[in-house]
Amino acid sequence: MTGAVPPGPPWHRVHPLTPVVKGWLAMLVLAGAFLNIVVDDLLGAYLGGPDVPGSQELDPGALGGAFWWVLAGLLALLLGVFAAVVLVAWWFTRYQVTPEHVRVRSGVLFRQERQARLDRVQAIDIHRPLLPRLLGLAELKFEVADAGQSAVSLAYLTHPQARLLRSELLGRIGLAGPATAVPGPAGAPGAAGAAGGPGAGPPLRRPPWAPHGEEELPVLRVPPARLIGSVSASGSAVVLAVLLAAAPAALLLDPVGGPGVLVAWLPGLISFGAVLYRRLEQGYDFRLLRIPEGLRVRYGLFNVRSQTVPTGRIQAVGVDQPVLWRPFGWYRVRVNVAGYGASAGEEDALRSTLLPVGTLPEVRAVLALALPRVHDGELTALLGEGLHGLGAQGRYTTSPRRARWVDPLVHRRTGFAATDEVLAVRSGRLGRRTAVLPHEKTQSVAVSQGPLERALGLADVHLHSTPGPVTVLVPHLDTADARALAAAQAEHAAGARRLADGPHRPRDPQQERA
Amino acid sequence: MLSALAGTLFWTAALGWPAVLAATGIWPRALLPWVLVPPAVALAAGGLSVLLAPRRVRALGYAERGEDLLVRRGLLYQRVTVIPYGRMQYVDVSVSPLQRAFGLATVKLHTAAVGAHAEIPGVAHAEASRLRERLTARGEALLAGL
Repeated sequence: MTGAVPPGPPWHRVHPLTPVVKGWLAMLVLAGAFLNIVVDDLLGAYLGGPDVPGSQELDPGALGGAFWWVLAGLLALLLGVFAAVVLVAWWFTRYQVTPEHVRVRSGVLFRQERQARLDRVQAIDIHRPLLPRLLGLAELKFEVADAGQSAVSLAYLTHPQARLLRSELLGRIGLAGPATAVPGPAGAPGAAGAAGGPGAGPPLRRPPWAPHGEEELPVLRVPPARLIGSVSASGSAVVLAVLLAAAPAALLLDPVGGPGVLVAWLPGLISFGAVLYRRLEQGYDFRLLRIPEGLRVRYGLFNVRSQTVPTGRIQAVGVDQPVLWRPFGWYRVRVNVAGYGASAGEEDALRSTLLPVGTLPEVRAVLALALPRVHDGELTALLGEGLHGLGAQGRYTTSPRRARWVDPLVHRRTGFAATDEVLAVRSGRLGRRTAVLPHEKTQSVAVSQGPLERALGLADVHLHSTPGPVTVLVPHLDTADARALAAAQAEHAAGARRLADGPHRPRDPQQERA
Repeated sequence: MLSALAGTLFWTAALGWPAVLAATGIWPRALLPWVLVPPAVALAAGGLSVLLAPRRVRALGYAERGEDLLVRRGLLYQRVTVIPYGRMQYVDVSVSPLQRAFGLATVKLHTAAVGAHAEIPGVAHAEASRLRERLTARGEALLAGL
């Protein structure tokens, strides 16, 4: 159905139920308020006089039939108004997909047109909050790299429509990882071998005429039982348990003053409860799938979300194991993904988890997918030593002994290991962490030294990456080591960038500023 | 340096009001010696900061290399940042009113990482413009996708 068509692809309308879904809460509130006011007035009019008897004294039979008819008429009027508003809002909302842009036009009085350049789109996600999901609808969200550009979202289409559009656009944009973009590198010996490793191989850009199927290969799934276990074995859960136990204890000990103290505890209960609930919601039935463009994560209990993480945009990968998960052997994998606009906000945090809780083999599989250019064996060794190693053995260069004056517990763990492709940094004694940063994704390097460290001959090296949960920082290294690392990183980064920068899309100075 | 002065004044005032209250008798007099300590500490730290400002300025420097830019700053907490040209998203030259009076500017380099990693305050205005042109040109030449 096309409206006034400017030359170009047709404008489509979203699903007719969209305004209902978007505005159901507002409608409910309005209806409630309306009924409240009107019914009171009506009752007053019918029973005569300003004193309306309380509802207990009201006898519905005493009201004449006319009352009910008028009420029904008013309700019908209300519904009619709602329907008209819904229809008008739906009529004026349209979207258009051109070879370069996605445009959404909305608004009756205040017309608004939002557009997103397809070549700046970083990811296309599908969100299905509860109500739309029940109606079989889905929302398509475009994440754009332009600083300051807010994300464009198409709400709501039917689920199959949304999936089709998404795979079509992803194919068009060619959001594939860098695996095949590297020409045979003359310099880096290990890198050539990595091209045959897992995760490499998917075509860079699918030709437009190729069938766009849903080529999703399941990789792993987090069983809900494991998720619940992991959420309960966390600091917040312990605090919540303590709070919950303290409440009856307070009541028992001091029946008079006890309830008063409970009021102070309630906010704590609520906030910790909310944290735990959010973790549960974001990890429930978590599935990781492999698609040609990279990875897709699907999770959710009430709000089911499906989010794409293009491999090329992964800037740093972090594996960590909170102390309470050690007996179970569970780990968590999070990534820094590049350049989502500031307005994405909370959505960033959701997209940065590749594995909310998993075992070591699962972690290895995820890492192999997220870092397709690294040798499998290499990755396993780095990971193993990163998570379980202690002291200066193996590939990791660690802090010298004198670092124990500034960091007595952890100094034997902090260290880094550099290979041809990546830099791995490990830290944490109780809660173990390893971060892996591909050389070509390093943004900048900083070496810093406080007065205490200067006296001890130590320095910190910060490796900057895009904002995200993974921080790559090696504290308290020997100064010479630190300087060498910074210099080596700068060189590695320059070298790797030169190799990796076979452009995924035509290099246009205007566009490339991502 | 002037920001260090302003900072000192602020902290002295913020921490000093209990002293004023004690001195004027609104609070018990006996508290006076205790309550004078925070503002005294603020004054001392601020004074030190102001005195060291010239040295700190000398410790600030930048070097343009083949592929990247090095920025060094800090006296007590020293920091050297290496930023590859290909990573610079854009270069900002900003001038505060105080800097304008002295003909200075601040050059800020932005990469995809967030945070004031590379900021060179107090560069002469002409040099700042030259830096900006040079860095942008080099950045475009060595442009790296994310």
